[in-house]
Amino acid sequence: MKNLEPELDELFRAYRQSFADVDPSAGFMPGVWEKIEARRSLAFRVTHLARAFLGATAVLFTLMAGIFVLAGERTTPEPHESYLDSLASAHATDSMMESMHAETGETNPQ
Amino acid sequence: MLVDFAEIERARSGDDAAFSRVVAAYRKRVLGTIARLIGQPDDVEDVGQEVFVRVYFSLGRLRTPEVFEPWLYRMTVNAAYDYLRKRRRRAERRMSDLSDQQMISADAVAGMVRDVEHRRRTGIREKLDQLLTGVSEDDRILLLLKEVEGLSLKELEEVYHVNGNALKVRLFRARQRVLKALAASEKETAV
Repeated sequence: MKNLEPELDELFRAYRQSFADVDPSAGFMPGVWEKIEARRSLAFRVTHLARAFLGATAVLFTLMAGIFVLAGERTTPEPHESYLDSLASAHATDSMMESMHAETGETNPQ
Repeated sequence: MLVDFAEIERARSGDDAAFSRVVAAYRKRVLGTIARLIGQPDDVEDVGQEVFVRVYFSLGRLRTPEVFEPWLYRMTVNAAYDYLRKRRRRAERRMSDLSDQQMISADAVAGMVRDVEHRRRTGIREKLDQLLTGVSEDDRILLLLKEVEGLSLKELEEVYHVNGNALKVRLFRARQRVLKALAASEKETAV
């Protein structure tokens, strides 16, 4: 099989030479700065919007939290006795009654 | 280096005048590389501007001014690569939009305005482009950087941040594929 290595090297060399030197146009540098400015202002706008969004979110969150706390204070029912507390207090009344009967010598009618 | 390290350092710290001087020093080299990588003279300047815009916004991430040149090469290669991907998508759309007749007449009109030298150069580019269609876009660019841009293996290592041996293997395989395509094309021409 024919050795094509030199031919390929020659093709790469010819390819390189087929491109004339590229001289930048007069508008190259202003174009670079124009694009930089455009991207800078876009970045500025995005940052500005993001900050505004964050601020608005913080305000909204504070408001919602305030409303939630206020509404919570108004609608929270008086604390009820728990089942165990009721049992304990009922039991305490029973024992008190029993001791009173014992002192007076009365017997339980039941 | 086309500028001294101090100039790069000044540009990195936000000195716009220093940045302009860096652009002025490197623009011709960058445009030449882009032209050879993308093969589209009309779009070279646009891609070149994109490279320097990216450089401007990424300079802060450059580790030291000493690695500026391989870093700039990397930026250039990435911009060329992005352009080629976009162009492929555009070409696919355009081809599906045109009828065969429109394509033939478009080729004929383009052919009439070309001069002989231009046609010869275009012929070489088209031949190599055709041979390179057998390798991936990544390998195509790698091969062009080595064989056309003349970057050494060490320079390629700095550009790609990849071990030299891995690059050697990739280059060898890509070259073998191109050689195979060249052999096939020669065979076809002979018949």
